[in-house]
Amino acid sequence: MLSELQTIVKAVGQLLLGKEEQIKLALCCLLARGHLLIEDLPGMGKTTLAQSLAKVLGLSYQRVQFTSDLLPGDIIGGSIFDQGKGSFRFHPGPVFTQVLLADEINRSTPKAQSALLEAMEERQVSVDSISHALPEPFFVIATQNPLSQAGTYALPESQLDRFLMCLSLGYPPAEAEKALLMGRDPRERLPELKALVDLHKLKHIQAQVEAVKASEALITYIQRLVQFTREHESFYCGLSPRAAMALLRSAKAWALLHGRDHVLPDDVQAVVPAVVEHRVQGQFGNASSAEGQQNLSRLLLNSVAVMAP
Amino acid sequence: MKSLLLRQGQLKALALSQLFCLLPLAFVLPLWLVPFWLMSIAWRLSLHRFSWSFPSTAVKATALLLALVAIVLSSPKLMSVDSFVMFFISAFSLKLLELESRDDGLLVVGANFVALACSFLYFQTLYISVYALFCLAFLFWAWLAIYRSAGLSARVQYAHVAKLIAVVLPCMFLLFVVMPRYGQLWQMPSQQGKAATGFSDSMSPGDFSELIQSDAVAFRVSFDAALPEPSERYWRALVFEEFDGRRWSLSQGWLSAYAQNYATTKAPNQWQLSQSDKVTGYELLLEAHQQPWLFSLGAPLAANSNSLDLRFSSALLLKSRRPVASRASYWVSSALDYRYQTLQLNSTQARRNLRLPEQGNEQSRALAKELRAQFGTGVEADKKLINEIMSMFNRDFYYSLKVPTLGPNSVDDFIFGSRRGFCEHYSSSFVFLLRAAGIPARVVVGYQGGQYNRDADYLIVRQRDAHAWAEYWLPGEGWLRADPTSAVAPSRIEQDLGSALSADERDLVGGLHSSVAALMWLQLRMDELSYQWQKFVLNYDSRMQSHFLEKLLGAATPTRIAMFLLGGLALILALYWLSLFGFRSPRRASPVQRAYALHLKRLAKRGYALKRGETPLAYAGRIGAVQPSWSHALLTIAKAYNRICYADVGAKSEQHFISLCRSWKPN
Amino acid sequence: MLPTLTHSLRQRFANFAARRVQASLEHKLTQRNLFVFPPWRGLGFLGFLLALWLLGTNYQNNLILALSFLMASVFVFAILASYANMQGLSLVYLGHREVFAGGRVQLKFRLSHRRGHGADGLELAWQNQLDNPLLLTLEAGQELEFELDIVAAKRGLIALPPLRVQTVYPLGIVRCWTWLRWSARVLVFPKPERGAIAQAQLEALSGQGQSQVTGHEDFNGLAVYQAGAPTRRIAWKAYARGRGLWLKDFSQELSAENWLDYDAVQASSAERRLSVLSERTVVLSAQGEAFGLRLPGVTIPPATGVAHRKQCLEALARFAPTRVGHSG
Repeated sequence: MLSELQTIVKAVGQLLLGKEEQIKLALCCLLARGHLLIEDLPGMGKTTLAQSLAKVLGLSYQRVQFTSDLLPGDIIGGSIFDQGKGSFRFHPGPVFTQVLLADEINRSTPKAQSALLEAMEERQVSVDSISHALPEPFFVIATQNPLSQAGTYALPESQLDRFLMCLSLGYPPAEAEKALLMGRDPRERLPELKALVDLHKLKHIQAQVEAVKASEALITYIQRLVQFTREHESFYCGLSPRAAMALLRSAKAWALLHGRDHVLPDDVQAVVPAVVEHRVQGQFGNASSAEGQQNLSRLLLNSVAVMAP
Repeated sequence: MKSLLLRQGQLKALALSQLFCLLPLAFVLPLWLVPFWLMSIAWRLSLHRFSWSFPSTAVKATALLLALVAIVLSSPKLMSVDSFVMFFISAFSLKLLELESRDDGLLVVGANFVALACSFLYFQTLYISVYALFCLAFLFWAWLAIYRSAGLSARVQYAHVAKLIAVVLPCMFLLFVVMPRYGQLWQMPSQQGKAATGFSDSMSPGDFSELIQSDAVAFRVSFDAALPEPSERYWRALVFEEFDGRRWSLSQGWLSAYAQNYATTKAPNQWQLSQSDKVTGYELLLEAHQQPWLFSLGAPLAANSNSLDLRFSSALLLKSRRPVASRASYWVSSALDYRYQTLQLNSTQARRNLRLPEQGNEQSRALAKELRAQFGTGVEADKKLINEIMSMFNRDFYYSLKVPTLGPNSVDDFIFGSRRGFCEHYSSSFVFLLRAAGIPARVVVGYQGGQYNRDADYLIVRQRDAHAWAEYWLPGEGWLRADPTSAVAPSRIEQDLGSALSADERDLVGGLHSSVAALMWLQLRMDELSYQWQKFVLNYDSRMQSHFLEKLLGAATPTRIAMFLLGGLALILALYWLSLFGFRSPRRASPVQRAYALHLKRLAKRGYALKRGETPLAYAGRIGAVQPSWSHALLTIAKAYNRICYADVGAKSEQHFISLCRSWKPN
Repeated sequence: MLPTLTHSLRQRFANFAARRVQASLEHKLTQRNLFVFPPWRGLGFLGFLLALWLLGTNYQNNLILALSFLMASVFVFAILASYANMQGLSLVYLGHREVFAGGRVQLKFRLSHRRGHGADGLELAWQNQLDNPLLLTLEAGQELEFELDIVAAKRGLIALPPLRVQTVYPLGIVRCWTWLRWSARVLVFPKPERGAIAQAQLEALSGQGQSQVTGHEDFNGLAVYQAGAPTRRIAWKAYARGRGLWLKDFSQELSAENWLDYDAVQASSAERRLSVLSERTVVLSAQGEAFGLRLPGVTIPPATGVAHRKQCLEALARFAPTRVGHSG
């Protein structure tokens, strides 16, 4: 299994050069049945990441461009009158897919946002009081552009909490960029990717994530991390119990990705920035700036001893 | 900061505890205090219910004035303990009226302690102590109630009280045993309301009959060696040399003349004692009888006491400088076989011991003259004369407590009239006859006999053992004891009073008789308990203390005593602390953690301290990068540590890890 | 004379205590920072004890002596018990509620015990208002979150005064206490006051009050089609002309933005201006309107939301009028 996961990371890594860490985190997020938020500028390879992940995992892929005029129906679909049968027929929207890329989610109105977020949370869609289950697995990669704030609707804290992780791809390292420029356009190479695992295998791996062992000492560590955010003055609001669970789940996936059947503090530390940063707000200073939040997760990790004193 | 107000429940607890603490005083102090206190407390407790206001200053001032008047009226002497205690009680009763805050509550607690102390001025029995313990438990409960938050379950409250008592009592015992005792620091007002007990400083016919019915303990004695025979147990207290025809009394100035007394612990040389080697040592624990005289056997040779200012007085007597106002003990060694003033009697003494009233009791005088004529003069004749009187008593007289009233010529009435009586009659008429016959003689009063408690090896002497006998002086022989009562009723001396009486008179005597054996046994046990209580608790003084500490510590040096005290206190408090916080330190690190801590410490010494928030692997990696030679070992340890802490592996690998940590040292 | 003496002694002790306790956000009560001494009423109790000892000694009465020893033992017990009541407690500063100058700020703390013990009769008081303590009881095995307030007189950062935690539990004759100093600071926002802002801005504000981004869209041009775009945005006309799939792109920028400008406030003093801006910030945020803040040297672009409001208020609170170039 380790080799399979490694191959997946490697395969995606061939398209998204120098971003192995982010690919791993994204994969973790998927394996932990969470959703991913990518906060980055356009052209950093968000689409490539989403598409290539879907491809190597053998999943169906859809993309929704979020705009201010996007209506909930545009995402989840709606009932359309079938003249032949003389009745309404549910026409599924783009959300009925296994990997959904919700591009620039903060550009749409809160209404549209919440339609998607509800679907993410419940893993089903209700139209005309009929529930339609979403495919399994269901993995949303939402992106938002941090720079152009005007005319956007920032996701409220409660909704940010629904994303297991928040990543930022960032500029590629110089070496990787050089290779990118010299090689073929990754988008063209996308169709060449083959599915490396089947659905059955993927579900098996997801079940494996749940089975990764977390010792009491590790749980205590996570508890103390969470506690610190609740106590320390730099954090405006502390991490919720849901956030603590997210942290543990992500760490389990990370451990599995690295071939362990138990979670180490190192695993927790690896996923903390991705899991924690979008959920906490700084007390002072620029609460919303990415820099401030990175400082917060560094502060968190550097302040909480791994073993209880 | 303003003190918090008391809740109604706290008030009630305080009031109840005060009721218990004051209760013993109600038996000794004037009764007006009871309604005074009750009204105060009732008023205070009703404030809440009837939404009355606190009493005004005028009301309180009036009440205080009334109390002062009542104190002055009800205590004959103003500067006495009683009036102080009364004042104290009325003042605190009035304080109850304005009892409002926690601080006031604390004052009531303090007052309750003082109230208990006042009860101890009047009562010091084992029973009052047990009662005081109960009061204290209640007081602690009320006290703890002042400061704890409301709504604690009764069980928790009792647990708090129990814990407090469990700490405080052992500490108290320790302090009691170790804290140095000092003598009286200054003269205190004496206690009234305590009548003198026992006989008085004079003896008229009928005086003893009341005494004989009393079962109260006069004193208790424990002997160093064997108990003397009953016939030797004559506890001398007073010598009556003056006779007015009816009443025997002390010679003039005996009580007040301290100058003649010898404040030494050894018998004075002037006594001209010659004694055999047979000396009996004993400790006498005396009940407070409010009289200055003390009791001793035979001729006291040495005596001392911590609580009493002992004096050797004339006529081989011991006395205390001040009346014995509280229970006291003293040690005496006495010669039971002695000669006293054998050579001559000085003229004053001779005159005093021969002196009779000018007239009265003519028949008796005639009898004496007759006897003198019959036997002639000389020491041998004197002895015969005395024997004759004794055998006369033995022949014609009865021992009885039912004595007809004797007239002004009491001796005549007795010898030629009733011919029945008890010790005072016999000794009185015996001495009269001897004096009339020209032999110096005097009446001695004290106690005779005593009940032996075999189990606890001590003698109880009660009031009913009060006795009067005679001493006469013969040239060359000195003072000799004669007990005419023994001639009439030998069993009075050999056994006890009850056995000397006829069956129908036994009821007149106080106490229980051998007929009710079980009750007698019980009484003996109770007395034993109370004797031990008195001997070891009430009477625990500096002498006993140094004795006890010496036995306990080897040597009673100040350092050892201080160490003992501090060590004991520390032990008690440490036990209390442990009971609060458990016997194990809360988070004792496991062997694995300790081994890893050692590993970290070693590395920290080399300048590679673990950073906060660093994982074992990251730590090993960071140092390994700087010290490549350690890298392998560090990683092995970190991985092993991770496996144990996070992968739940068995104890076997723990052992391996511990040895790994211990063996590897940064070089 | 005596009051001044006790006052100076108290002051000295406070200084001594301050040296023993480092300012922090959380304090554990240990032997390092706890002090034990009998209060006046405790000394009174000692007086009772001494009186009984004298009484017992003078009457040579062992029972009274025993009673005085018992009281001494009670006193020793009280020392230990009151210390045990405090020892092991930990007090953590959790943060404060939003506060405007002139109000009282609610500071949140959490009280717990290291080993889950309870503590009774705790009195907490700030150094400058000792007469009015907060009384607390910590139940065994529980944590207690509570709020204490201090006066926030002026805007800006204010420090917390030392906090005295003390107890006379269980017997009232011994006091165990500690002085805790806090490293936390409270940022006090300027007191909101109604006031006029220059007309132009006001108009802009009121006119654009409900200007939502949805209504005012300007066609900006065509964008490359991306998969998943809503069909309504597809430029069908262009598609019909055979130019392939394009998307209509709309710009949704606010035509006129709401700016709260320091210089536009019509007020006499700098503080007053800040107060007016503070009031507008609060009101506009409550109405959910977007606005920006412009102070000399600080510019916060228009936005909405809790974080934005907080950012603006903090900028106002920290603003130093004389220092231009201060960065928010």
